Amino acid sequence: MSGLRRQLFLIAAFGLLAGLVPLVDRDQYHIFVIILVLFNAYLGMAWNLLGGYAGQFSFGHAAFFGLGAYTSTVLLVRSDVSPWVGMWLGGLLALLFGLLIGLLSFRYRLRGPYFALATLAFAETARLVATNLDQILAEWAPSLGKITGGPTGILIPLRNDFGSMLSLQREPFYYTALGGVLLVMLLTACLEHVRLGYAFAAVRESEDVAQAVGIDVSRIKLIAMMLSAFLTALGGTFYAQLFQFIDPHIAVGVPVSISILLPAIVGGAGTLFGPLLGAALLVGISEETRRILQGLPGAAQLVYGLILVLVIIFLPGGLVSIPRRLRQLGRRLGKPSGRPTAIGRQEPA
Amino acid sequence: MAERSPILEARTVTKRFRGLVAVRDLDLVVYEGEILGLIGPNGAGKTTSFNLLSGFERPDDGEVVLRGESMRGLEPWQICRRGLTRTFQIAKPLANLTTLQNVMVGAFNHARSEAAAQREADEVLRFVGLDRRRDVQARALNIAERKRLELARALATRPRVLLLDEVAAGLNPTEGAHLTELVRQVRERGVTIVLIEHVMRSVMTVSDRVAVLHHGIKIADGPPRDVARDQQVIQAYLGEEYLFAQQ
Repeated sequence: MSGLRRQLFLIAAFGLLAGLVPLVDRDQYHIFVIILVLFNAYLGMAWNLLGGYAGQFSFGHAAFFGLGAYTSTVLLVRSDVSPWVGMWLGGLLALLFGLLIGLLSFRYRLRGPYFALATLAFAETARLVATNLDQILAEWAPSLGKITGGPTGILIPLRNDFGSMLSLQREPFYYTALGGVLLVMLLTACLEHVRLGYAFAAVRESEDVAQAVGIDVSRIKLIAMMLSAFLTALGGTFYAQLFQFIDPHIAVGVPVSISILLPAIVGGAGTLFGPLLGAALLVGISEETRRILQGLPGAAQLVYGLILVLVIIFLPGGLVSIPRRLRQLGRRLGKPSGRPTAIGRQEPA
Repeated sequence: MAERSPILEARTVTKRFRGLVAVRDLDLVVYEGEILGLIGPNGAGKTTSFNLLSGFERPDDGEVVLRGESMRGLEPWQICRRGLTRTFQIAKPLANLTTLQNVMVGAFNHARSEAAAQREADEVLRFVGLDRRRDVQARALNIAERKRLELARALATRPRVLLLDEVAAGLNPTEGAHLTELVRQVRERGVTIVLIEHVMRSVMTVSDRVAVLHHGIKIADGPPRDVARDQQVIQAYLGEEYLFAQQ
């Protein structure tokens, strides 16, 4: 946790630079790629609050993402409620769902892999609900009509109306995503310097110690869960509006949960800038491998997976740990004469 | 000690783990401002007693009373808020935080702002002699430093009663003596201390009073000198053969 001022300065500098890009580079593909980076970074940061800072590894954030995407989309398509309004309801529902998952899994003291599996199970349940809700309703409450659109999903009719978070241009989405990233970064930076942030860290490092020094561990975990779920759901709304289409697989499937946690893991869990760096690397690799290996179906994914494995094996602290590792390496190479060699020490006197 | 007023009490506390009775009908009174040593052979129920006093285990029978208030049904964090905290036998540094941040986590028990927590933590770090290791990650601390950190983090919560689980274990005699001296200074600050110790000598010198547990039962309770001469205690520690050989 470095000084708050330095962090705020870095966030402002990043915001300014990123804000200028669309003014300088009008290439729609470039802008789209950066939107993907920002969007993935946002989700990674939302996950990071729970998984990185509070140490509760969720494998089921697709549930919150999907709740956000479906809530605002259903409201938009059925009742013409703007997603700018609907996203708050989606966020609230996700927050409550997070509270429920948290109450159940923390009540039964699920930790580590068990907690991860429980969240996965809840997310898969949510996916099945999205897939089958219409059929169930047709049986029991036909007057409600179709809500989730079943396995075929929901198509959002394209309009050029940013009041409904829809646009034919990329720039509005770009600045929306950037705004989201900056807000979550500010939130995260502040969190690192208040009592709650220290409680998150204590719970992550040792629940026993946290209890012993007066921290209500269950409450802290629930707060982290609700905060993370809420923010993730807002990302879901953004996704639906950007691609104008959702179905149970792309909005609530397991791959969604994975792509939400990857930026934080690759970039550095529990750090302010980790998810941003992770998202940049992941989107970059994904786009480049796809471009280079165009002719070979499946090869891009294979190479992407391979690079991912290498990063996770050789950089367990994520990208943000690279400078520290380089410094350590430098120290080791810099003054070899400063320490006795291992052999010299073991030599019998 | 002018006043002999009880600050912490165990009232006929019993704890069973399946068939095993780990602590049986424990009556223990800790008076304000004293250092009470809790000793006993391996498996005597010392750590279980600590867990019961600090809320990490719930008694099957009986209750723990802190400053006149029953701790029944309270979680460890609630008991900490009421002025009792503990350290752990195997030191538990928050490995990815710095030494300072570890202690700040404790100080946040009462501090509201980061600056206030930091002031308090710095003061406590100077007190335990860890100020020079302030900004290293706790994972880099050696055993002696970890023991001090454990003490510092607990102290930063501003406890009225402090339970210390083997603060000197694993230390060499010099380091152990330093820590024992530190414990004395903590008491000078008005903190009541209960300590578990395996090393008999250090408990006997630092404690005002010693309670001995054996197979979950308190078999002796009194000034160190008297307890050291108690036949039952000698038997518990050294075995019946020793007693037999003495006769």
